[in-house]
Amino acid sequence: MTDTPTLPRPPAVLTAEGLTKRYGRTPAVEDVSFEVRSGAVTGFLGPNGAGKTTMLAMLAGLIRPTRGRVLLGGVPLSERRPDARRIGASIDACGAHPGRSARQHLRALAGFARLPAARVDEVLVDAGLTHAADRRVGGFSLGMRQRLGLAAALLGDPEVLLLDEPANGLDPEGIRWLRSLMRAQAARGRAVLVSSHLLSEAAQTIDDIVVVRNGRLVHAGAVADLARGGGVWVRADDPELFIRAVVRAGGRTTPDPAGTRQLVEGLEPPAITELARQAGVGLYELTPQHASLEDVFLELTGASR
Amino acid sequence: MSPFTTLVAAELRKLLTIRTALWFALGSVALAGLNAVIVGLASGTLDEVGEKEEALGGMPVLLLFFGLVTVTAEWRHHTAAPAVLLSGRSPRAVTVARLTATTIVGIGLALLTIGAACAAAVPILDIHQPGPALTTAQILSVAGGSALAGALSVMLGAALGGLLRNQILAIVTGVVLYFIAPSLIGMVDASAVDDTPFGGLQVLTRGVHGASHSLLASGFALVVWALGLALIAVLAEDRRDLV
Repeated sequence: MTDTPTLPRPPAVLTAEGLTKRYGRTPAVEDVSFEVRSGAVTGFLGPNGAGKTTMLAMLAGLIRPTRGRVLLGGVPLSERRPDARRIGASIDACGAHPGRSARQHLRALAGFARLPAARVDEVLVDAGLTHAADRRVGGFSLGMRQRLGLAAALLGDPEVLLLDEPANGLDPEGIRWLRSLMRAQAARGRAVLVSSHLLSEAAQTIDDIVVVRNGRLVHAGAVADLARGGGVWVRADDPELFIRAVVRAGGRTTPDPAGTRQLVEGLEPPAITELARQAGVGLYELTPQHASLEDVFLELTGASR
Repeated sequence: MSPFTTLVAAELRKLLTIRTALWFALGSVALAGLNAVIVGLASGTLDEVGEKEEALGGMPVLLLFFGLVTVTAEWRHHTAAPAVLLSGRSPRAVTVARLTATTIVGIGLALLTIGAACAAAVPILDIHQPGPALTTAQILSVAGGSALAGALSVMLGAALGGLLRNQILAIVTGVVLYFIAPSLIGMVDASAVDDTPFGGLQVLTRGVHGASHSLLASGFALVVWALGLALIAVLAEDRRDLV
């Protein structure tokens, strides 16, 4: 997770506007709007069955929304032809024939996009699949299939990468590789939208977060904003005087169980420092407490109930 | 290469990098040879030209299932969507390319099958069957009809597969349409069977004996069925989700 709230936010390259998908009378996605910006990894989080895959497929142009639209670079996706250089997707709908080798699979896909065979070798290296390039996909582990899906998504070196639960089946080394790959893509100015049902898995990589539940959006914004607002731990030389000063300034305090520190809420660290100085109270500790992202996520998705 | 040729080439690459075509080629050749042996050796005395021609017929039904299996495999293995995503073309264009590539490979399989049928049947008939030998024109007529029937069978199967997408459903539908529906239709109106695509296949591969249609009319009916189904499959593609 990177924390750069003071930097200007790059523009959105992919925008979902009121996306709705219904199968008959059954709603899969209801009126979801959010933005995915360039140069950032956006986590697309929600419990299983929240509609993440359906939404990703709509963003990739594989499923037609019942209502709403997807804008790619400000232009409705429905008015664009698919373009491997704009969107790359590794989602459930994008698979490989088990009888084909990884190299043959990628070469066939490269043929559709008129990409040179050398590009296939590049993405095989990027995906760490060189050693298995000529093996049949049917013999691949889930992790290797994930890598192959990523390699296929990377073929056109797209501006937007849509990844559906890419960490499924990856070993710890693979997860580390995936994180560095996503960060590297973002560092190159690419937009990455990665879905997961596990916040702990995504939290170390993502800049922005989109949380969905039951096909509806429950939160979209910067991760830094989501984690903010947990209060500030303060250790003062005169706790009683400090508490009175905080209350006068409109803040609230809660002592820790040991009674040695106060959790100050409603005031930012600069204001706390200033009021302590005015009250003549010495401060030995001033530690912003970030709310647990996991707790916020569970609260947003209703899983904590 | 034109954009469409690029799509067809990519689809051909997909078809030729799996073993499906190879297995169907082996199966078709084996069935054609078996048919030639059974008709030529185990059917008693074949006095009529029409009876002898049946030994050359091959088994286009297998090619129908080649089309069905090949196209539905795209949906079974989720390879249809990435092809569209990477192609830069509409799902409709990719589907046309897929049907074209499948038909091209199917023509190859049909020629291979009829070649095997002729190679097996002609010497058997010459040696073991009395009466006049088949003329070159008669052999070419049956061979041409069988090749056309095979190619159109593949196109029919591919179009049906594209419409249904589900492999099991498509195979069951193919079995019902080929083996059951003609019998049911024949119970109502025997001549109507020749209007069905599978009645047309019978005429093309076994000759016009007893059929209500000529070879040309049956061929034309089959072309209409194959192209019609393919057209519906292509037109439907732009109105359906790719997942």
